[in-house]
Amino acid sequence: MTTLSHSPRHGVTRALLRLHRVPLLGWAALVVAGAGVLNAGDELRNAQLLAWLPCAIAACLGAALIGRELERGTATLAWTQSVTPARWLAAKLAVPATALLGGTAALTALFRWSWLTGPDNGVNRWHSEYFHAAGPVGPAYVLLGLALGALAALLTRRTLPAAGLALGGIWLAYHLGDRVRSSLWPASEVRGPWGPELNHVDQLEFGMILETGERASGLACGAQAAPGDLATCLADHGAVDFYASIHPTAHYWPIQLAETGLVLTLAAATTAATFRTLRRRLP
Amino acid sequence: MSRKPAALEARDLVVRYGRRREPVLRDCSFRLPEGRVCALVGPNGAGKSTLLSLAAGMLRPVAGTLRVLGAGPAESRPRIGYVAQTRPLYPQLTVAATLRLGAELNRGRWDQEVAERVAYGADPAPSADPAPNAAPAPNARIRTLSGGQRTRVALALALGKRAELLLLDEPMADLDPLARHQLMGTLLAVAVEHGTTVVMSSHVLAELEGACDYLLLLGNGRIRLAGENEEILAAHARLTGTSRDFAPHTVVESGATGRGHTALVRSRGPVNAASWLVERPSLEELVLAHLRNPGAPALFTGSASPTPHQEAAA
Amino acid sequence: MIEYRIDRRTGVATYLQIVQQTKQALRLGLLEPGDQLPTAREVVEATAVNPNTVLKAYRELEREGLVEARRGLGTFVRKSPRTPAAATRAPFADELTDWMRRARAAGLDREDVAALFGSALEQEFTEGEQ
Repeated sequence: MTTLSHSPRHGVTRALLRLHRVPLLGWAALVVAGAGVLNAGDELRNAQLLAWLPCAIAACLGAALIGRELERGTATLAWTQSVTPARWLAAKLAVPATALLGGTAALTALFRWSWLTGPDNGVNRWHSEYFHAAGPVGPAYVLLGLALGALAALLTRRTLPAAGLALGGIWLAYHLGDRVRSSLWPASEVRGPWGPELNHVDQLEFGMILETGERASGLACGAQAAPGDLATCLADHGAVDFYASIHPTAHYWPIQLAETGLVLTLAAATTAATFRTLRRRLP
Repeated sequence: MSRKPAALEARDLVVRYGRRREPVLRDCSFRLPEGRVCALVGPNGAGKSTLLSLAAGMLRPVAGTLRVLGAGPAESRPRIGYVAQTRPLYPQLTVAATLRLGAELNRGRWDQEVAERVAYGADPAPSADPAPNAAPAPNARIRTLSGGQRTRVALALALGKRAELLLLDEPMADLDPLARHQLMGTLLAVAVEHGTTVVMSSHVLAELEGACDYLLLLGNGRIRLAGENEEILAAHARLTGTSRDFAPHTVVESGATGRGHTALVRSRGPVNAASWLVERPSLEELVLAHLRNPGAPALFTGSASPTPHQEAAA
Repeated sequence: MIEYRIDRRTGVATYLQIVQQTKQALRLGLLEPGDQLPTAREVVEATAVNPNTVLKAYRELEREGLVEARRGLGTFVRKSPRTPAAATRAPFADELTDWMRRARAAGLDREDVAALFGSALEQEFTEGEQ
């Protein structure tokens, strides 16, 4: 009566696909709905949703997929079958990781397309949430969220505290990412007064170059009496020119890739810690 | 001396949940030869579930070693079947889907026919009167099952795996007498067919006595009695006489009876039937006497004593 | 095929119950030479007793020459147990009835007689000799 025609390697994967059919279908429905929202709606809100929601979902999903098994004791059931617990954990992470990655990547591509063809024309590319929503960094954070959720669940053995910890972790990672992003690639310096082309750069610092050659950060001519007379303003400050430390558009992809690599490394380290926790728990 | 290989061999096992707590198992050592049907008996909290969990490779001891089917518990995991006391099952699956899960997670070992026989009962026709202990229907969701039905499905997974060693924690606890008899019959039939070693725990010996030929009595984290039922029985006698002195036999429990004295003893040498009334105690009496008297020395029959250290050093 | 009924409360060892029920079936002609006994698996499945107990009972029957194990086929009846002829038994039955009558006349009640009989039985026929 039984058919054992399919390859043994995929036994666990098939079992997990059936076991987690409901959350997987839920995610698929969410991705479809998300695609609909991205086509309409406010661009900034879309960017915010896409930057935060998949990450939060991944963190909660990681916590729930592992935490529920530990709470209910079904982990014991899974670990005493003929597949090793490590193999089980690998499949348990790989199945949602694939689904989350696929869905987020599709939404990211969709957002990127609608944003770049829209009125913004890429002006906001350095804005934190746009940066997440429009590049590979976004899916990388999603994987980190999943890994954090799984690790927290294995450590706490409870779903809710694990989800809380994982959300906290991903929030922290986000803000650390915002902080270090500009140092991931050496900045360039431009001279002269502000021009519209600077709209597209990530300005890290600006100021004036004094007669002594020193750079005085933060000095500007925004508050002067006669606007437009930049030469007088410079002279008033004893300066010879303006300068700005920036990331030009050319730095966008190197920084996207560098941050993606960094986040993926973190996710890999978290996953390694998860496997180690499992190994330490079981003989 | 060559002995049957051991299904389980424990040496000085210590398990403690939390540093400050009293250990659940303390210096627990024994040996269970292959092919036995063993009753793991002891009061609640004696460490039965902990011992089974260790053997299933679900728990790490603080100290000591446990060999399962001649290897470490982790290596032997594919060869054992474990039914935990809580009967963990996925509530969202149907019974049939749970068996399919078993088939997928136990490729190359799975016996669908046995699994179905255990899960759905010997009679495959669905019962018209769905009593709470009746076998579940294939399309019933696990979350709707009664305790007895969950036990059936959990046992079906363990037996379908064609395990060489079955570790069953309180397998008969929530079954009615009819289901108990039928499942025990099926279990033993599968065991005799494949030469499976079975360990079943219970705090009621009577539940298991007829089905088992080997006994492990746990009391307060230690093994008190270990060996073949018959050898354990043969090693003890109840003596009644006028003297309070039962030497040279080891007294497990003694008390006054009328003008005389009676004692449950472990016989050392022949028992003098002239000076005492000699009776054979039942296994139940022996178990109770040993639990009432924690000071009585433990008994290991030849096959139940762990191999001396130098031989077993890996 | 013979079906065994195991009663755990009688105090009689399970393997002896199987031995006795087999012998009784032979005496009553329910089993005849050449008939097959159920396999250990069948007995175990029906009675939920330990497999080794069944095997022990079959070994005992084999030792007494009543059955033989044919490799790969099963266990078969060889002959019926040696039952003392009615002529041998009759005088004992008469003596026992006579003894009981005298005991009753002397004032012993049913339980006294049962205790005496049981104790003598225990003394003369130790386990395994029945």
